[in-house]
Amino acid sequence: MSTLVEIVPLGFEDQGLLTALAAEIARSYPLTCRVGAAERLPAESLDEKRGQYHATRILEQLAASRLDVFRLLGVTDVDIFTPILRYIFGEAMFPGRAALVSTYRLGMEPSPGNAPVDRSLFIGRVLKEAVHELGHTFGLSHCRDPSCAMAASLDVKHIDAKSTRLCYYCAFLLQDKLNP
Amino acid sequence: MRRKTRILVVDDELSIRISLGDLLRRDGHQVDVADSAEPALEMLKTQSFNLLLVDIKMPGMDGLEMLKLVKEHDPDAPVVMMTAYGSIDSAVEAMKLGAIDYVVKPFDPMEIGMLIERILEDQSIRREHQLLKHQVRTCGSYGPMIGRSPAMSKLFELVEDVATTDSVVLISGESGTGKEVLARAIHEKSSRSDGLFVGVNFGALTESLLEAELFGYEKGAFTGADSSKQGLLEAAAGGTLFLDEIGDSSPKTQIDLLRVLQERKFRRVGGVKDVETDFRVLAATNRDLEQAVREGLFRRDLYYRLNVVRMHIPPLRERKEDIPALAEHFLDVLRVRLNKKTNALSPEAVQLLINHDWPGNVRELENAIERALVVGKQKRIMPEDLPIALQQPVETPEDEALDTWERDYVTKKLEQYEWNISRTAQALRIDRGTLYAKIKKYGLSQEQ
Repeated sequence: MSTLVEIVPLGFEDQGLLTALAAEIARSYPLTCRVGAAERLPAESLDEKRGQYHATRILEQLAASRLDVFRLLGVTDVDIFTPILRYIFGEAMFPGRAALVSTYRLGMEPSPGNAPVDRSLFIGRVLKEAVHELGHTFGLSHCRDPSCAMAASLDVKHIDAKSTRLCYYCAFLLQDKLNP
Repeated sequence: MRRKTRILVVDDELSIRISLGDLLRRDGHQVDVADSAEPALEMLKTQSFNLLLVDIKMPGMDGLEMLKLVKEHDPDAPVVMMTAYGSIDSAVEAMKLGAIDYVVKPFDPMEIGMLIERILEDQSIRREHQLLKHQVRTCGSYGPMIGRSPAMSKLFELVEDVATTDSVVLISGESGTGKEVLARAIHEKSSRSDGLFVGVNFGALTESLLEAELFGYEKGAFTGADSSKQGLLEAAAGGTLFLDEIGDSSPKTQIDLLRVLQERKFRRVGGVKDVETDFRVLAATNRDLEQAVREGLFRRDLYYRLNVVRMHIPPLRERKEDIPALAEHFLDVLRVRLNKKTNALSPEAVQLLINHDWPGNVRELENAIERALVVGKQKRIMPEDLPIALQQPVETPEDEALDTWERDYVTKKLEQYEWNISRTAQALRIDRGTLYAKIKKYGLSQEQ
């Protein structure tokens, strides 16, 4: 079985962030990770009425590609949504092959104000969200430990409160999912 | 961790059902979906949900109409309405009809997360409160002991008598009859109820472990005894010590116990000082202790120390008239614990319960009701929900012939002994409960 996670930049060019992301995923999961070739966002994923991109449609396109790869993690800087929520930071098949992270709302302070945050905080948030969404692809649900990477993130404050690491129980469950 | 909750999403839009379902599942909830009010109402007839998320605007029956019907059926049903911008008036109307709240689609992640958290927390508190109330109600005078049979009524009278004394009580009865429940009832009624009820199971521990548990030990008494530890005999001071499965105790333990009962003092393992203690002793066994004494397996002197007041709990098959009340009690307790809507037993199911011989006694009955609640899909427990062992074989003509013969024979014996149940049961070599069951089965009465 392949253990490769491929990061797919979707119109995303921040190489420094992509490299940090690959390193963090390899640290948090017993998997290898590489940055793959960039792709375009599927045109049909844009919802003009909402001015946002439909995350489920992006995931569907991702999951249909690179069948030799274990997991795919799309990274984009556009604003993404699912029909039931006004905004999301990321989305994943639960469980499935594909996950997606958007940096669009991770580079600013919680409202009100929405002032830009420094780069290290921004990168930290993206890494946490990537580990979180990838966890969902293995069937891990939200964790009630606020410091666990699988804690729900309803707001950037929640992301700032957690780490990039899975708590003991989530790590145990992951082992279970990876070695059934 | 909070227990898994069931949420029903009712919305005609597929994309909403999918995205909301995924959102809730990721939070660890179990989610069911319906694309309109009608199938949702159908699901509610047989299933129970912790929360209903219902769209107001749906083709056919709309959300408000569905809310009315749900509330008519179950005024406590937790319903949150979902609405689009511009239909806030309908949402206000929904609140008047009893909805807990409403949310505007698409949701703000923070708002919906906190709303669901709050509703489920409230429910959890209410459920605990309900359980507590139920426990208080059913504890009554004799804990959760239930029975209207003459044998149980006598036992309850005896509880009143022995509770006011400090006498040692030996409780006998088959496994699952509720010996510990009876012991707790005595403790609760006694003047020692402010002290602890400390149970020791002699069938579950090895001799050396039991010694350390009972008497406690001093630091260094054996490898691993890094500090001194108080034993159960000390913990029971001022309260009640319950010696469960005493018939399984080893010869050495029997000697140790005898000394404690005679002298009311003991030494910790590795200790040099006597420790005095004050507790009331209740003991229980499912073995024939008299037989064990005759065979030299149980010390006669210890037997006499324990057998001061004897209480025997009859097996359930000998008090079948208690079965319906016990079954209803377990149904009431377990439906709350399992969060089930089933709230009654069908007459056919009750008949099956009465017909069964219950080798595992009250514990087996409790398990059967729990199983029925788990597998049952209806408001009432039906025969098919009960364990296979209870299901009656299909009656064949041969069975019918046998029944006719049995009916006539039982009737004849009843008449012969002028409807004296004890004497008739004795003559038929069956217990009184079985005779009652047969009288009920064949619809016999003195007037006939």
